[in-house]
Amino acid sequence: MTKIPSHWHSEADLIAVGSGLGGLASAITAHDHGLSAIVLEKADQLGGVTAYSFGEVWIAANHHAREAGLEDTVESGFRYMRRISMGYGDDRLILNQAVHGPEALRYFEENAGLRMRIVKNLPDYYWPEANDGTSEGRFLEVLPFPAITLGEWQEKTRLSPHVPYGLSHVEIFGAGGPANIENWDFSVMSERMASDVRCLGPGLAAYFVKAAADRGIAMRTGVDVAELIEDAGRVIGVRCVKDGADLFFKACKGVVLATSGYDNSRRVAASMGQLAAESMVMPAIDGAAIRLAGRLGGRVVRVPDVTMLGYHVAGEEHEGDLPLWRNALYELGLPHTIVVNSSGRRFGDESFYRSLCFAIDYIDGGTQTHPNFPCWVVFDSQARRKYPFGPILPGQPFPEGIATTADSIGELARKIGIDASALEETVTRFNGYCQIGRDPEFSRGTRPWGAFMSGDPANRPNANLGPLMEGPFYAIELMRLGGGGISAAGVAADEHCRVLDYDDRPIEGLYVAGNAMARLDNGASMQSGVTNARGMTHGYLIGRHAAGNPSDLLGRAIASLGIAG
Amino acid sequence: MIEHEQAVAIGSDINDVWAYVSDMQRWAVSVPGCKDCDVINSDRSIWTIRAGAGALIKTVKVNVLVEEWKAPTGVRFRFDVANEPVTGDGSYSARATDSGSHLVLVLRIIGSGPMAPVWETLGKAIVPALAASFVESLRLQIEAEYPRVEKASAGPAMPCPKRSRWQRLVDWLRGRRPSSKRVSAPPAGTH
Repeated sequence: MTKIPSHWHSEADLIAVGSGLGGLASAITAHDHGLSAIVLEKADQLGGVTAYSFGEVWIAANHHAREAGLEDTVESGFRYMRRISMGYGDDRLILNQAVHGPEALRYFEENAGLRMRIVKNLPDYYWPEANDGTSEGRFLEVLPFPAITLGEWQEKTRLSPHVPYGLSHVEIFGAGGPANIENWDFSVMSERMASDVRCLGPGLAAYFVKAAADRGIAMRTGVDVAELIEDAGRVIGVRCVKDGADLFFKACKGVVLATSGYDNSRRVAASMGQLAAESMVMPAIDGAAIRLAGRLGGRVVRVPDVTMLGYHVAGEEHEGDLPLWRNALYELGLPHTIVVNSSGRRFGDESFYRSLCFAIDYIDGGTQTHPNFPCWVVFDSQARRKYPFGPILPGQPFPEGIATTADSIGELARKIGIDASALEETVTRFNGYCQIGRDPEFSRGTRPWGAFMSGDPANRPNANLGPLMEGPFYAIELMRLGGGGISAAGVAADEHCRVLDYDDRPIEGLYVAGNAMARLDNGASMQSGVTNARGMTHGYLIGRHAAGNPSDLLGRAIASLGIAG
Repeated sequence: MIEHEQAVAIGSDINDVWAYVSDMQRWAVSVPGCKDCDVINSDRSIWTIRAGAGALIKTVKVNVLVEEWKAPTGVRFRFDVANEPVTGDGSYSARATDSGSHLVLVLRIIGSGPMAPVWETLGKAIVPALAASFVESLRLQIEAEYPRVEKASAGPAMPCPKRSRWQRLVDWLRGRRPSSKRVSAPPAGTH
């Protein structure tokens, strides 16, 4: 443990470690409540995983939905999340997020220049089967943000290699979604790129960078927080490394760990019982919160979670010269496309990644194998002609090395080394399902979210079902990917986001926000947009608590709902 | 389509400039992000180029076909990017000046398909800086290898121009004595 330094290089009431939504929202709220704040970012750009994301923010009972006449309540949002958390969450924390999400959204819109709107027609993952799911209204996105207003921070605020940030959800899905990329308005996209107007995750991050910059909050990049400094059981600062030299920053009211998950640390992942996976995110996402809080006794909690499935297009890289791994979320549920294991069998609803990805990690205890991994996405020439595969446009040749091709399904199976007759049988059976427009095995095509996000709305009779008929046929091996900063394990915290130790006592002066926090507020579930909502909400709660003005909404909600406190 | 023109003055004789630029392999040193240049024959080459656009870094293969070699003043070429809906063409033209040579590079890039506007926007953002970087590097390379030699005059003998530390280093690395030859070396000929 580093001794208390004789000299502090800088001092603030609140030090936010990480510059995604959690870190920036903490600093902004703290500033607005009378505190000084500094944001320290390990990477050379601000925005963190937020800027890499699709930028969705999922908040039940938000005021935009209410203004649009969409009926929703905090209680309904709470019940929905509790239902899909499957008992792996903590009811108090689920309610805490449900209660404060709408508050935080309103706060940043009213005070920090954030401008959001509903993504129309985008349903909850589990609508309609889960009670309290909604058909639309809970997904929000930012209005396009003019990045030129960031001034000196424009170049220092992240873009994303994953998302088409020149267009919004409304524009992308209004034109038929990723399946219909040829209908997108690329003139709008190019105009926005030319003038640096940002949507999606890069836009969301930019709003918060702008709010922090406007407040004069110090934001320092290239600063790696190596250690927390404690005095008499309270965190009072951090030791950082900048250009090889130690710097000491004093935090009078607290330090916020907002460093996201651990995608780039196989050591941390392995210690959480997870298999090695490729990373979609920047090198800085390396489990820093777990490492830093762990030394002070911060409790680490893991919830059941999936590894994602994805692929790499040779020649694509991102920060740190890392190969760019792309999430296959949109591609797998398209018509004329299936995913099979090495036995040539389908094993989930390809249009819903949660269905597919939990099955990947399934262990057959009888044989001690993962029967569904390795796996391949298989599609035909209709899919290739009509749909993009990630960055590869319809009809565009595949770069060398990504896909195996063959004139028949059997030959394709032999080439990739799986059971040919089984794959032929699987394709024949699936083609039959496409004829009747129904998948009795995995209910593919019945989930509105899957149709919206991973389907072709123009395909009849079902957005996700189309037969594999026309050769040549293609197969691409899918690899395990981390969750894009959304990790299964994180640091436990109370309703004010104070880090808890193994006796459930808060560690004074230490907060945790966003993906770095254990996901006890959603348990075994995930909903796109929840993680951005968590970051924003945690930041709001931390800023208030650090300033001595903690929210009391949870207590009131517990009393009104009769939940055990 | 986007079109960009970049000019540069080079303090080397036009024939020396031609001797340098007519060897495709040697361009590779100056093309930003160029990882490899595979010369198929005197007219065809495949360039492996690593370029960044936003947060994405992409390595692409560019097939270049030289359509005309016109020593020592001009080259016309066209290209396509493998597996991408991008093609283009360009030219190199040079003229002798009192101080050496004046080069003009012209590059046209044509995106096709629905994403053509995006390709062209990216091109507009990237190409000018790349072209400026390229010609500056080209100038430094050529001037280092072929420094301008002053013409003899009737007056007193002029001392050899002093070579920069960089030029001397390049000479040393190339195992070449400074100056001396190539005052008016003939071009490598029309390819």
